[in-house]
Amino acid sequence: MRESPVKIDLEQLIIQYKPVVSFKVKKALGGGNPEWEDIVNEILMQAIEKIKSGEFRGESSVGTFIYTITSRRIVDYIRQKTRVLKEIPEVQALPDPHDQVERDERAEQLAQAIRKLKPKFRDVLYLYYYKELSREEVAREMGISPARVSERVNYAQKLLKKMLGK
Amino acid sequence: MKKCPYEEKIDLYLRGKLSETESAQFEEHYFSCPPCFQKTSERNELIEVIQRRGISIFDPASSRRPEPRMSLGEKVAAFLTPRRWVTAAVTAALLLVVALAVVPRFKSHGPDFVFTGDETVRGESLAVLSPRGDVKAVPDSFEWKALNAAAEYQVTLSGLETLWTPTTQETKIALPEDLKNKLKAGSYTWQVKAYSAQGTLLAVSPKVQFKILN
Repeated sequence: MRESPVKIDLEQLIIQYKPVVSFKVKKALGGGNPEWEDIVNEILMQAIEKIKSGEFRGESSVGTFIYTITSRRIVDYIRQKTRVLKEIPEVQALPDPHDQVERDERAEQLAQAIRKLKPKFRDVLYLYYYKELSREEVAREMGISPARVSERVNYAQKLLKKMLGK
Repeated sequence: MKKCPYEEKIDLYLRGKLSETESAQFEEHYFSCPPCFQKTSERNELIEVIQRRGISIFDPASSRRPEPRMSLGEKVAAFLTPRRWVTAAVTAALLLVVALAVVPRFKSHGPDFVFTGDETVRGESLAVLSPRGDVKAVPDSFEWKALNAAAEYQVTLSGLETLWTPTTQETKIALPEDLKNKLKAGSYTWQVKAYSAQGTLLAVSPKVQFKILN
């Protein structure tokens, strides 16, 4: 094995990229898929291997490099899955109940905070994300400009963050 | 802090409004841009909570969310919650009690059965015969059906104002020559009232319009 030509703090790399890779994998596979975590670990291991072996030469940014590995792995997984599913239906493992409880609590806190928002913020969230109207439709409905809709959503998010003490 | 131009894409990405290529570009971007990733992840959490728990968050009983363009019927239905129905029913009952207690004090006295001018009930019993509707020339006379108890009739001919009010014991009266010459083309009304021998008004005909064409 050759000496890596790029000096990268691998621990830092995992801390920084694990959430991003997890987000993308969950989005592609669905958060309920119990395999997402294994796939994330595989992706990160693959990235570390490639950096260690010198396969990653720093021609692109680390972000792009990891993104490429992530997308390929997801494509592979989906291909493999469709092949397997054609043959035998797979027994799905249940998601970790502790994780589920934690996620539910967080979601409930967020829901509570949304209920406490002033109507002008809550209404924008309702029309935009729940009714799934377009930004222009929300603007018409509320009698404000489309730019103002985005501003209100962003401001609502800031308020929620503050309320949850994040 | 300068805003990243990719921030504009967060909502479009999460709502699935970007093309496949645009999505991939955006993803590649957030892999390298921690602030954009953080915002995307937070926004995603918010959207997921709203979509999964929207009903409990935006419950009509706990918030004043706007329903896009409600019809009046829907607004009334939304307003009348079970509690409001009860309130509305109790209020209506109280108002009815108050109204029934107060109204008799202001009750007007019953009708007088003595005919006076305009108070007279205009029945079918006194019917005018002619003229009525469009007439080609100034009519020679006015004619109506006889009323049994009537001793005398009074005719009233009006244009913009009262023109002629003769009385007769017949059921027909001729229009005097001088008045005949005065009447021009236009709309007129006439009416006849029947009086008893004692001079009591018995009946009034409907006001009939006629139009002289020439």
